[in-house]
Amino acid sequence: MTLHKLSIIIILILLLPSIILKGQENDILNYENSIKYANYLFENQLYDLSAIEYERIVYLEPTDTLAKLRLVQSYRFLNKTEIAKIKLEGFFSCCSQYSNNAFAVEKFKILFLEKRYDECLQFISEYKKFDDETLAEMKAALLLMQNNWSDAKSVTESYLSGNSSTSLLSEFRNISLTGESIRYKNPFIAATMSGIIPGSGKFYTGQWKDGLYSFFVVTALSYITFRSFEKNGVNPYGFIFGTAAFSFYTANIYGSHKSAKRYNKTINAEKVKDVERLIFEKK
Amino acid sequence: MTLSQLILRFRIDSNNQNNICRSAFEKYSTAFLFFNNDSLKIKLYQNFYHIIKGLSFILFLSVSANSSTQNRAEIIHFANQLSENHNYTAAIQEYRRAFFFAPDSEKFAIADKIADSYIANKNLSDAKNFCDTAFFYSHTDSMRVESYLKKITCLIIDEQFGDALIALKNADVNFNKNLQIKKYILSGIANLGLYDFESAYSDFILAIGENDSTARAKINNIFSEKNKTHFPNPILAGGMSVIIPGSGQIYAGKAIEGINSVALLAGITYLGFSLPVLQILFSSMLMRYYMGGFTRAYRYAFENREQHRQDFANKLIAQFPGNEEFIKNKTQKNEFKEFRNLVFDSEKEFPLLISTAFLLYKRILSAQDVDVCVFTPTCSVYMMETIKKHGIVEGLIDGTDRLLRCHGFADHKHYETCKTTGKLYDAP
Repeated sequence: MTLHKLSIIIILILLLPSIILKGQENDILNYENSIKYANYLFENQLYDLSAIEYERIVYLEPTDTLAKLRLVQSYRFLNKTEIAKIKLEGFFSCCSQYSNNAFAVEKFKILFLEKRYDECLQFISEYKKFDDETLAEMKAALLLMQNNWSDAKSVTESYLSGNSSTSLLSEFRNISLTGESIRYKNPFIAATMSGIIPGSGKFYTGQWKDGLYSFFVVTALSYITFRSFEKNGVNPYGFIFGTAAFSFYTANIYGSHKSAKRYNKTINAEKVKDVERLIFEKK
Repeated sequence: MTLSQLILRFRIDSNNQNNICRSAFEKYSTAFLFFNNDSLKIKLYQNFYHIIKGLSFILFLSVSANSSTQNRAEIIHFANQLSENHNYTAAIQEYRRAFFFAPDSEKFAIADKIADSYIANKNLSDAKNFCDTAFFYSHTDSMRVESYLKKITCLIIDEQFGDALIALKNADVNFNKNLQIKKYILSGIANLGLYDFESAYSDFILAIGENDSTARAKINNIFSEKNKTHFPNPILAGGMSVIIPGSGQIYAGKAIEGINSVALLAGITYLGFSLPVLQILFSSMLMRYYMGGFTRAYRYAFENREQHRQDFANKLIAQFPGNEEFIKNKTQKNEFKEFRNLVFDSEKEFPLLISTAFLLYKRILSAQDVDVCVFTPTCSVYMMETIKKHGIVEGLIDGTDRLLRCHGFADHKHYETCKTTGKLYDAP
């Protein structure tokens, strides 16, 4: 190996970075241009494309926290919460390492979307960097989603009494106040009512058309059974009608119980339907 | 693999270059430490030199290809190859990247290709958007009309034939013969979609032109079989089943259903006469299955006629190469197979008695019935699903309760409504 060849190698090695840098000014696939394109996609809500783009950016530049955040957000907007969680765990091994509160909010929102409210609560108590207001908002939202109206009210009121009122918390308090005034239907009362008079349990839960229909079906079948036994003594048709009447009677009791539960569920869902919107609107 | 693709591979993971350099350095420096043999040392040294030479050559090439226009051209080339291999999703991704960085003068061509890829991917709303984008960036009249006609293509594939015809009226194509032909073909296909065979015929003849007599003879030949598109007549099939149950189904090409209908009605009539106590039950059943017979005969005939019309249209479109995207192959789904999957392909197989009863009911009774259940999924499917979910006892009770809820007065307030069929959603 002569000195001449060695010098060529050294010159080449020295020149490499400058050549690469010069080339990358106009390279579409380099970091700056990719960021530009990915941000355009993200702002235009093309999350399926932006997720792929941010994946590449994070690979190119592992220190870019905004790209990481937007990658997780893209997956969340696509409702791919599983992948979003895996990404988040890949970036930070535990929640105390989050470089930014935004990641913690993201984790909260992902768990919230998955309806894992207990895990949410555990997470916000472990992560200690939230300010009091955010903490109160999150707790109130979680309690409201679990339909725990009185606790939600006490959380919001204890914060609002000490501080100037914030719009989100006062809205949560209003929701909890209306939630407390709900009069639930008791499933057992509904079932018992249907046991005494078929169909009346469904009247109680507001499904009066179903109640009327079941009343007619059950009474008609029972009457036919009764008449059959009375007229012809013990006969197979009587048993057929009797079985039908009895199964409809039982099914109606079960249905009244279910209907009451359903009523409670829908009325709860109606009350908390704003909570999710408010939480996700907040940046 | 061409050189430009190779370069693109390198560019896609642009860290690659540095990584290769680094790993080569590491590999050979460790090799130096371990081997003291002089000849091997020299060999390794020479290899090292060659690697550096090769790498610098690749880097030189990639740098020379590094200016923005060439970079974009490579991406477009790559995307073209992807779409040639029918990988449209990946192609769209690459095209859109090129579109974002392209100057306005190049945007028309890329938007046009994106629209093509979306059409191939059956994503018509995005395809329409990109046709509009292409229209916006077009700078000559023919480009403008081209993107406009592409949008009409989307409308026709979306089966909005009336809208397509109205839009075609506004397309001014007199300056370009090819576009004129394209316009006539589109108009013909839209008229076929509306079953206006006369107008479609005149459009196709105009598209062929006066000189090509063989093609014209072919079109005439196909249109001579036009009568097939009126067969079988749904009203006739329905009427036949009203008079003689089962005959309409046989006329519509569903002989097994016809025989099923006759046998079922005869069986119910016989049972009604032999068991006077249950007469009220059987008479109502008879009414329903009789009605179900003729409504289904009408439907079978209608579907069969649709199929004939589709075949006719496909045959015509095949005469004009380059319009393959309009050819449709409607696959008839086998409902009964789905029911079988519901029973047997689940994790927990159903007890034999229940699944047999369900399948027999579906095949013999429900297949002849009027479509009366107010819910979706229907009561029988709900019963199967709830048994799967809650076990036999609770499932049967829940399913019976569903039967009590399934009546004509069911409240739309309490359930979500399906917009197309008007049925109420109620899953277990």
